[in-house]
Amino acid sequence: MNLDRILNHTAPALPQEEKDQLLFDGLKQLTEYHKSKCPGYRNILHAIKYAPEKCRSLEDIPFIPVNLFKRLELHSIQESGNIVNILASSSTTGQKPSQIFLDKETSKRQSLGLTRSLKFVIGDKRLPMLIIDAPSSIRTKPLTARGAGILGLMRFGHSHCFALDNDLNLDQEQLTRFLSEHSGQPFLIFGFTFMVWMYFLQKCPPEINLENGILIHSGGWKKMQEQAVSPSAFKKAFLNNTKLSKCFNFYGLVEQIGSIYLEGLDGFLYPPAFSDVIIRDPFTLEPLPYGQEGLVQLLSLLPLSYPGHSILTSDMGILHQGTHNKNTHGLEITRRAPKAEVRGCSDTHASKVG
Amino acid sequence: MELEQIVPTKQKLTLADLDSAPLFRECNLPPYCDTVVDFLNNISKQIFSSSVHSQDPELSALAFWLRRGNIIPLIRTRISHNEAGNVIKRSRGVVFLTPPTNVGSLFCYQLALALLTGNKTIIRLSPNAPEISYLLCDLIKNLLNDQINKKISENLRIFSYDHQREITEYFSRECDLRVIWGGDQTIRQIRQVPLAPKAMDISFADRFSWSLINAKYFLGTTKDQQKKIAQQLYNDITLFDQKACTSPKILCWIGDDNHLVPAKKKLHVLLDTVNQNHHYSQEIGNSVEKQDSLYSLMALLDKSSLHYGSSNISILDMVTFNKENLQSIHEHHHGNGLLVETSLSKISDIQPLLTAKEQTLAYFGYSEADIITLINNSTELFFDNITPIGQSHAFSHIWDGYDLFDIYQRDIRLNKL
Repeated sequence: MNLDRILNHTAPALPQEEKDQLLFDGLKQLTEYHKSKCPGYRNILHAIKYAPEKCRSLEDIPFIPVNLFKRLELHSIQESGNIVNILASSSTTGQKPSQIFLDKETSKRQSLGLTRSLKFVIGDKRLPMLIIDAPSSIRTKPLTARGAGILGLMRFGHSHCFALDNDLNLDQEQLTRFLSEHSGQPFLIFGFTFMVWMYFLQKCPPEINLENGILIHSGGWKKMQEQAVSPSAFKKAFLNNTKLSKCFNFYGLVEQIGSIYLEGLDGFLYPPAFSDVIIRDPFTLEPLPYGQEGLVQLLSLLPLSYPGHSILTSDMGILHQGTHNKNTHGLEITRRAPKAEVRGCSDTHASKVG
Repeated sequence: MELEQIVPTKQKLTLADLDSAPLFRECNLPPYCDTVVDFLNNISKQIFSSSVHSQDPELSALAFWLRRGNIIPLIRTRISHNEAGNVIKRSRGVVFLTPPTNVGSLFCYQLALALLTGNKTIIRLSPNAPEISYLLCDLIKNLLNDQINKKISENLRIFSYDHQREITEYFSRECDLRVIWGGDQTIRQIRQVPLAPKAMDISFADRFSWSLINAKYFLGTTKDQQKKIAQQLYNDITLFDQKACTSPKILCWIGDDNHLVPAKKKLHVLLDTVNQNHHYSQEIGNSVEKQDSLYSLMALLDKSSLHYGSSNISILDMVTFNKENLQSIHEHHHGNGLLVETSLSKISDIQPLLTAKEQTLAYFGYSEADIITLINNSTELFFDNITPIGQSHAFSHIWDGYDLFDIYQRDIRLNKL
């Protein structure tokens, strides 16, 4: 199947055109697949009058809003016994969390996708791994997005060490032990951006040396904006304080685990070969050209157990043409779409209403 | 614990400040006194005299309602009733009003009724209240500076504060009537705060509204009339971002297929034209929330189909109108310009579907007699407000099953010799 073909190639080896075709065909197949397995999704396709013969480009692949997974139980698993896991998004705003139903096959695809995406950052070998979080983060039930993210990444490491205790204080003893054993060779560091900044870098002893570390971090950019820490300031602080130079931010949603958008040298987030991004006008939902801000739509070949292969997120972003490869494009996340106003702004339209 | 008083004077206060002096002086406002009628009329005048405000449909509706010409007939019957027999109407004392944030002018209607009935009035505004609420407060504050309005100014206090339990507790202890006008969540929260033993609570919960059109009548009427209905329906939907209780979210046609198909088609074309001629400005968040509602409903309502007029109002055609589907719409529809269109063959088919949540029915193509028959055949689960299309949001002192004048007053029994 298309996913396998993409996964088995390394991105540069697969010509862009062929990749695009594989992605488009694969997403179209997934649309049909979920249509046949998920009644709610089938109803949506019926309501929007989706016709496969009229679906001619990535932009024609139907999407569903990400919040649908918070409101409804949407999945394409027909035997409930085949559900191996239900992921819940962290719900900070008091909203209901997303519920993502996973079966064996989709879990496998997520792992494969993640491996494929991280390969060129980490290499082929597993590395000793320092996790900037509390040991309790992976033990909650149901698993939070944070916990699922950590568990997903843990497969790329060995000799795992949690750098924080359950009260999120730096566990000096564990940290010292880990570094004395592993810091002489490449090792992996993973955590959520804000936690890495607040609970790790700000609390680290001054003599710490992370020269051989590869830091992969994700999320929490809103809190970082509140702290007025830019991505470049983040990197600089790590380099200056800890000698760490390999620092990779990524973007991804719990609704599309495994499809991660790694930060390139230009600071933009690049989709893996089996994913793509479209930016849409927040009102007309029409696709927007490079350089214009709109709602971020994420496409991915991974989701099989739930209709999440084409999701309209609540994040706002801009798509930029690739700096090095004009055939690619990088995503800039600008902000979260604001919450609905209780009431629209001043009634400027009202004067025209007769 | 801080709160801001915004009427009659602007000042920051603490709970201790409030506690240190009585909330109101012993200065009573007689029921239905001319001072209040004049004061309300002056608010109305001020709105009409501003070229900006008089163009705003929400403000102009308020100004229209506050006019002396509207108020006098409303209270005339009340006054004579008082003198008639062995029941004498008096104010309740102190009323504590918590208006909703989705309709920024609503507190003014409540304020008018509370003052007309001679109550000492406390109003809590949310710091998130729409601009229009604060604009009205400024206007009121300026009017209260006038010596003529001294008595009113001593009987009215408007505060702005977040949901801080201690402050709500304080006002709840001091009041004789608490009026909670807000979402179900707010009502539950505030109800947990005890009242004085003799005081009472009235709450106005989340409600749901429909519009109703007789397909045959619609087809038979003039082009101009059809156009007018499309425009009025558009206004009813878009005002308050379709988030008011009174905002129609369902359009239910009555008729058989012969009439339904062409009638719907005609209305769609007309609505598309209205859509194109009006810029209904929305926030990004509202647009996102609209997609959430729309896709949830498309997933839940079997065989529904989307008619996309434009980005302004979307129409979702619902094939089967049953209780379960209505429940889904109640749960997932959050306004923002989405009309669920459906049909029934006879007007009497409505009754079995209704729940306690249904509030306003805005109709077209029925006579008064038809509507009265409908009401006479209804059970306790029936709309509280029935009005022609285009009048969905018109305020009335009869609301959600209550006569607000009665609520704001108590009856003194005079057992004559």
